[in-house]
Amino acid sequence: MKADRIAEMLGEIDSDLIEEAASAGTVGHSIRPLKKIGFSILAAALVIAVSLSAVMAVSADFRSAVIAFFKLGTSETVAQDGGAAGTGDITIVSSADVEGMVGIDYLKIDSDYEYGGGVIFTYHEEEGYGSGAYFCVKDNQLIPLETKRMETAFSFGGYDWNIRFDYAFIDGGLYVHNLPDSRMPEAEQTEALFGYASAMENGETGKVLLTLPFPHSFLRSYAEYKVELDIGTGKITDFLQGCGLDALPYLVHEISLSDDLSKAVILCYDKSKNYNGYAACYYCDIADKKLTPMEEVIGGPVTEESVYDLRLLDNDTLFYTTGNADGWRIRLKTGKREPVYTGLSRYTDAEGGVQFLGRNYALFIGADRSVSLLDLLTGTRSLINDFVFTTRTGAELSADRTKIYFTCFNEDDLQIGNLGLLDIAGGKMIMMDREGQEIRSEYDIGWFDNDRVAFNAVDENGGRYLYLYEFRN
Amino acid sequence: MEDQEIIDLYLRRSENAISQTDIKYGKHCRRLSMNILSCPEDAEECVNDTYLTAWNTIPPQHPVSLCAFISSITRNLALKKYAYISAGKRNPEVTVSFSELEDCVSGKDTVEEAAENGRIGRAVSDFLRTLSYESRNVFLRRYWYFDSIAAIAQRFGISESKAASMLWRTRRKLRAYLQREGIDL
Repeated sequence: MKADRIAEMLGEIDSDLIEEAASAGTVGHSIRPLKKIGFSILAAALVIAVSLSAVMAVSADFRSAVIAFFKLGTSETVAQDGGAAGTGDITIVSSADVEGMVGIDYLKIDSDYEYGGGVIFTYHEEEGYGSGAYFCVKDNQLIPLETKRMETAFSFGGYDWNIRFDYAFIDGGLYVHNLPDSRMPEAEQTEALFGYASAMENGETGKVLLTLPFPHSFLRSYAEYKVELDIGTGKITDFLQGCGLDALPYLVHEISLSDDLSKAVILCYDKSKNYNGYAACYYCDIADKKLTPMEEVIGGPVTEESVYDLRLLDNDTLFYTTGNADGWRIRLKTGKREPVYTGLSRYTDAEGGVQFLGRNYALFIGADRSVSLLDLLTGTRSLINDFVFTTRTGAELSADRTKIYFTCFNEDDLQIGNLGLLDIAGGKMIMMDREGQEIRSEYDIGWFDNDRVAFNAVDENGGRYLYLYEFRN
Repeated sequence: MEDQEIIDLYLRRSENAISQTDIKYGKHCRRLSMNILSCPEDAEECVNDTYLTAWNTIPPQHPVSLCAFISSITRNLALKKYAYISAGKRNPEVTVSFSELEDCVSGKDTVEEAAENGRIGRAVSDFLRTLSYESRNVFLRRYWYFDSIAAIAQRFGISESKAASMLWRTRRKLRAYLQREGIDL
């Protein structure tokens, strides 16, 4: 009865919210314009069978290590407004240092803004995205950035495409900010479509990856396609050309690439069946222009049994989990398949389990709420000493895969009561308590760049704030 | 084709309305019904029933948002079908999704329940508008569209851990919000 009531209650939610959620997160939304391209394919409906008897016969062989856990004796006290001078819409309200281990900048931003990749982009809604300003924050200083605009148009796959984004180079890395109209196309759209750009892992080369979302229709061959754009020359490179994707009898739905664009995993729908479910999966060696059915790579048939998760860990390693709670990796150069773990279920609040952080890392939460970091690439399982996981704990891996931040919400006021940072290579995690959060409502957490964690906050008058935290080794 | 053009096709009783709906929203509806039913055949039947229901209800109805209208029909039909066929094989995604929200509502079954649900629905909408874009849509993808945590993490480019803790926080905020609104829990 309770379930029925919940279903009916949610059935009354306003239609504009339902419509927004229908496409939310599928095309680079403006709140996170700098997201690196995703490499994991979480395919709930993709089913690839493996020999269960073979899986059960193998036991996991994680190498064990220990991560030291430190809790700072001093808490952060969230800064009030200090009336400091700013640059345009941004003011550094205050800066703080906690035990020489954590540097904090509190920024007030009197405009709409987005952040990521070490950059803050401010704009005023009435003037549109195209008239914004760009800053980085270094040594407690705001530094305006020179940004350039890329606008290009080309024809591909029977459609005309428009590309518009701003970019800037920061410390050798490339910042890319998509301008509006990076939207999902309408079926039978006749005007030019918009692709969206993402900085590649090797962004300093001045190349971006363009994702071209085609109007969705099972009459066409692609739901999305990816090409490379050289910012300097404007040249478009179809690096997937000649790999055989055109000849597939399926709709190419998703293309996940390795960092160096030499490998890809291709997920396909069956155009004739029109189901929500992946009909086929291929491994593509882009450098060798070779397409291989995933059954051959994995060494087992594709059936209705499960592979819940399939991803490229790096340029040479494929990882997948089975419905039997086992994890396998395949070295693509040699074809060697080996178990990473067996019998570790996906996470539930009641029993713990595996939570994937993205790329090659996952957390394993034990029944006793202990936390271990799993490196799926090396097979190392590192216990974080004395750290206890709760349902209020969240974690996120940095884009360069060197750090993980942990947050914990307070049970009573739901504010972020603790912030921690795990330095993976250093084998050390530092946790800091927080006080005074109640002066503003903190509503979003994320990586500002590879070293700093950002909180978005808003005060009771609607004033917007960005807190930046840098943990020092 | 724009939504309004498709609605006009329904209003003019053109059977092309169904084809156009399928082109534009077929994949979306199949994903939603698959999330609930976990069976391609049942999901396909549910989507076909969705189109029939839309055909029979437009007119007299004239939806403001065709996407939300079609999605709601699919969800309702899939949940009804789920209740009918699932006695022995509950879809864990739906079951877990509902159980996560159980703390937010009571299981009382009263004659005023429908009206109360409507009031709660409006309150939930108001509450969702106070959240950030990401928090709001992670919540809706989980509890309205029944996406798995893994699928949500992939969709929003966040970790599963962050998605799970974000949902926990939103549930707790919702519970507090409903209490403040005087809604019986």
